[in-house]
Amino acid sequence: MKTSSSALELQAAGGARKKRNLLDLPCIPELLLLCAGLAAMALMPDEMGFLTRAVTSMLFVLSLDLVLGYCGVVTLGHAALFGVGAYAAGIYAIHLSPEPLTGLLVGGVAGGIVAAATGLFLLRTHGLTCLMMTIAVAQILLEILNKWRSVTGGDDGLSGVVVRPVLGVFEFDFLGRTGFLYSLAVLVVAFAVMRRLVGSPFGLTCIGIREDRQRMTALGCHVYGHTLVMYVLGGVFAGIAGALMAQTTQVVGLSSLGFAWSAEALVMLVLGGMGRLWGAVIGTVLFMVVHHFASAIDPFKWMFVIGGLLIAVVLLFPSGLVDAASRLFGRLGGMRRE
Amino acid sequence: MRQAACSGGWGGCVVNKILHVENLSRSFGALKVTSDVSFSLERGERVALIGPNGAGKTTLVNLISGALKPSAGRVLLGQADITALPQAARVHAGLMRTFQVTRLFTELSVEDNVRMAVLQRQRNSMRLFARPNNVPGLDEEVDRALGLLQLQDRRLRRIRALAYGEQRLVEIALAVAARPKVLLLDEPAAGVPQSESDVVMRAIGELPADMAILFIEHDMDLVFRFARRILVLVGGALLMDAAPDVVAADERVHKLYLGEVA
Amino acid sequence: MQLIASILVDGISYGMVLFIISVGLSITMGLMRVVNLAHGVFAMLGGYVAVALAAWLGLRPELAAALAIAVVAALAWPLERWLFRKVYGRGELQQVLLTIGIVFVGMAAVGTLFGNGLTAFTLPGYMRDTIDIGFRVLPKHRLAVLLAGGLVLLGLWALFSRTGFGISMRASVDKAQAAEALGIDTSRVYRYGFMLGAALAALGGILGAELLPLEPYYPLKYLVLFLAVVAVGGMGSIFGSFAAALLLGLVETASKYLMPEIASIMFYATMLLALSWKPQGLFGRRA
Repeated sequence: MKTSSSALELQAAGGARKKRNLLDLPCIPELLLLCAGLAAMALMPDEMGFLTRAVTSMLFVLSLDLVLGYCGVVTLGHAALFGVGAYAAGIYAIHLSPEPLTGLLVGGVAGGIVAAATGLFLLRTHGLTCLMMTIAVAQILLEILNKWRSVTGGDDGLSGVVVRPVLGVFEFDFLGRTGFLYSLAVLVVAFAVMRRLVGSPFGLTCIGIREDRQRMTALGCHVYGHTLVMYVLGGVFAGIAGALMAQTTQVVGLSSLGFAWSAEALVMLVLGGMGRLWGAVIGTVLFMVVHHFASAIDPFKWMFVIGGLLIAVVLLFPSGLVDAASRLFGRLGGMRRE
Repeated sequence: MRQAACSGGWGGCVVNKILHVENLSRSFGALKVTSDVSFSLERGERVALIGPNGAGKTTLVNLISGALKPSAGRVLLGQADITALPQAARVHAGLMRTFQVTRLFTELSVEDNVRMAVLQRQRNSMRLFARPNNVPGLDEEVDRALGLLQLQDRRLRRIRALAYGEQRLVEIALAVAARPKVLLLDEPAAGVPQSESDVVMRAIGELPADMAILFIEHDMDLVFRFARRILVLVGGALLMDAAPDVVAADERVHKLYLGEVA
Repeated sequence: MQLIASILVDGISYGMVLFIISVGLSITMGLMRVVNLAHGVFAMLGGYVAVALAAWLGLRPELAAALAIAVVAALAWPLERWLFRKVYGRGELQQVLLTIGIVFVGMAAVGTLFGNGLTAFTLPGYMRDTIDIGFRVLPKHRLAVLLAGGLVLLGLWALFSRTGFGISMRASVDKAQAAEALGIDTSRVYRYGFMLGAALAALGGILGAELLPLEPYYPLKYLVLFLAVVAVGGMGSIFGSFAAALLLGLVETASKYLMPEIASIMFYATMLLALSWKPQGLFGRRA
């Protein structure tokens, strides 16, 4: 399945020798992200809950980008990995230790293990079959967690996930500021790691797999092995995102594994553009802003807008709004060299 | 990889035969697309594979490279029987192929395309957190492949921005980057306009001397310039396996091509 | 014995409803090779339009139903022409996204017009009766569903093997380019095939309104069911959809009766097993 990725991202993958773009320099994108987050906090001090949810979602959508945008695996069951991470971190906090950072680790490991176990057979298929199987696996996991009432609380969900102050110092306050800053920090670190990942030889190989699997096989690549590794990495980050959500909202529900959440993440990713990390970030912001304002008016109006946006994106901007915008600005600024 | 038994028909164990194809056949139901094809290549030998359209030349390349499973027969690389090996494993054993219609990563640069190939060969593609310029030997290998095809000055250009003839060169560069012992070139000059075909020809001429090359071609200039031997494939079966002048003088071959030219 | 009979009757009825709705999806996915997540919208619209016509125009239920099916089929025409056609051959992801967009718009439209809750579909008087078939009392409605399913199967079989149009469709499924070379107007075939699929979905939505209640979230809620039937049966295979629908319907019904705790797990597990065994579907052919 072909997608076009921006010159920026791919040149970052290429490495040293080209003209360096500002965004290629180490730490600049992460600093930008950090500043944007802090600015948001300053501008909307009463919306900490919403902002924290946005950050958690961004991390989740980034993890989906790894799997879908950078490896070409179309999945509608990615939320299962998020939910598993959330429940794992929640149960860990309640029964084992309320330390938040290890809780994130637990969530990540849980997501990774489930991704490994399911990816083993999922990734041997492709196309509609693969899509269906991702849905089936997610539903089965949801039902298992549902029936396991004693541990997960079943339909009622897990509540009372309270965590200790971060690093023993930063206590979670009622206003949600600590929660937001904690999430933002995790997001920035994760973003840095992902950037390194997609710029590595492994990242380049995965891009090749996304563009033309058979070509990669003809070059000697063990495609299945590479997709599995990327899928597990996607699971780890999804699990961390879920753990983050559990810790900051203090509850975990079954909907965190649900089909609707998987579909929403896909929509967020596509709005921004797959195959570039910034696309995931911007797509999430766009979606959540629209959702926040439109659904307050009328739940169905929101659906109209999102549905319309999706149709527009597919028909008019197939590579996502970020790419369309960058093309537009590039042309305006005359910066694009061919 | 199992060691192949020495077959007496080839005069004992031959170390020089780098590729040995034995009774290779492939059928799709009742349709036999490849019939009992046997031939071999020596180290560094250049052999052309010609034949009318639909003769099954690309199918044969698919069978040898592992993209297609044979119905019968064996493929040996050096002493090793690679018939059971999947395509990717054959690449690591030393067998590479190019495609008749260019299959490159169009949004990436020439350099990145070649990097993909080198990374595979070096088995460095699983390095998750390295920067490409920190991978030992990567840059040298990429430079070498680009140099062989004289593409260094275009290394940063995107494939999409290259002329088709240049793209064919990159296609060959990818194959060469893997340092194969045997290279299967599927119509290297296909689709290349007259003005650019010298470049391709020169590139083929400068390929490493120790690399055995089997190339499918319709361009007779190329064939007679480079081939030390010519295989003629008709209807999936090998009609002839002989030196160029013998093939050129043969009645049947004339009929084949005279029929086509008309 | 009673139990087995109940399972069979309910399971087969459920399977029949799934079949009638999903077979249209199988046809269009096999025909145009488009992953259409919005198929449920046609089923839902069938039900809602029928309700609306009966309520607003005071039509008899049967008439309302027939008109509703026609309306939905007519609606399918511009959808195919202006939206779906743009994504033929563009890869699963684009199709998934476009059709999710259509689902959202469809759900929003229905939700705005009919409100958030469940909408009841009133059956005609004679359907509400039951008949006694000896070991069990059967609602006439179930009988109607069984009959309808059988007729649809037979009708489609006849269409595909006996009529010129049906044969054109099969040819277009097999090899679109070759079909065009033979003078078959594939865009016409796609258009009518799509309309047929939508009409069948509408019929299934109306008949199945008891088992799959009408509500704005209908397309997303039951999406997986329809896709499962198509994937397990094999895209483009009528008999495959039939077999898969019955299989999945029976499995889920049986589990609901015998092991209600894990009923939905059984459904998905069956789907996983079937797809692992035959990735192209039980009766599908390798792409």
